[in-house]
Amino acid sequence: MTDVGAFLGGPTTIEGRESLRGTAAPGFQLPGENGKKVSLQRLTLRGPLLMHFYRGNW
Amino acid sequence: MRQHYWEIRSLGVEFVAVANEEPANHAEWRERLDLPFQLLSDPDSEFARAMHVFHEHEPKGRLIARPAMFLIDTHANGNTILWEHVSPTSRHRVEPSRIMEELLSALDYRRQVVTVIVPSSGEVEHRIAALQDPPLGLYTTPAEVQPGVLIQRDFMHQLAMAANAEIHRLYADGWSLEAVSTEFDGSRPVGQRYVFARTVDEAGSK
Repeated sequence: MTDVGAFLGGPTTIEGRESLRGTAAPGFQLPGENGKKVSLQRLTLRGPLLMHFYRGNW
Repeated sequence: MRQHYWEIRSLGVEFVAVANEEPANHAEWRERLDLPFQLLSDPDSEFARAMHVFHEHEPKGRLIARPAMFLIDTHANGNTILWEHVSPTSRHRVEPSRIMEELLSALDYRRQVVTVIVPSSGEVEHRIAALQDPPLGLYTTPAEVQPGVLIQRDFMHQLAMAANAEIHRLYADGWSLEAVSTEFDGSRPVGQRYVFARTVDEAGSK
């Protein structure tokens, strides 16, 4: 995954970031709690997927 | 989001959370917080970069992703980002009912139902007290109060005020109140759940 320089916002602003709405979602393989990798293909097997980037502390 | 997880699942939408954390930490959190959804690790923030939500966390200089949500739709030709929400700041919080409203519209639902959970004052005090040892009333000088406790105290009060403000907004925007119930965490009542509904026409307006 390269070419990610499009995000120009400072630490507390979001200026310069272009919406990804309507674009193709990049594939991924990320480890779950047990360390086993989970792919986008697998998560969207039965329907849409909502992904939440969070800062911890639920 | 935990209290709203089943609303999302009831739409047939899968839900996962992603963070720049080790799987071991995620395993511990999921167990402790009894989370019903999977926590994925993005240790090098590569995926956050790919989604253009990566930024520098200013106070500690730690690199993390900006709070964000992506609704990814699946079809024969691949996966498309149907909707996104990216926080303008790292501490920004959006009411879950707003998120649900946008999700329902993105998924073309005509009949829309959202809920707002207002934490009870007892729950606000419970959450604040759980962070303190000894309890706040026993401190003799303000200097002994840990900054983290004060931040959490403010946060919990803001949470309750924001939920009340959201109820007023939904009323003003023409939503109708369908039901009110007590929200529980296990057997402990933690607040009130307000269920609002509306029907939108083909054009997407009320």
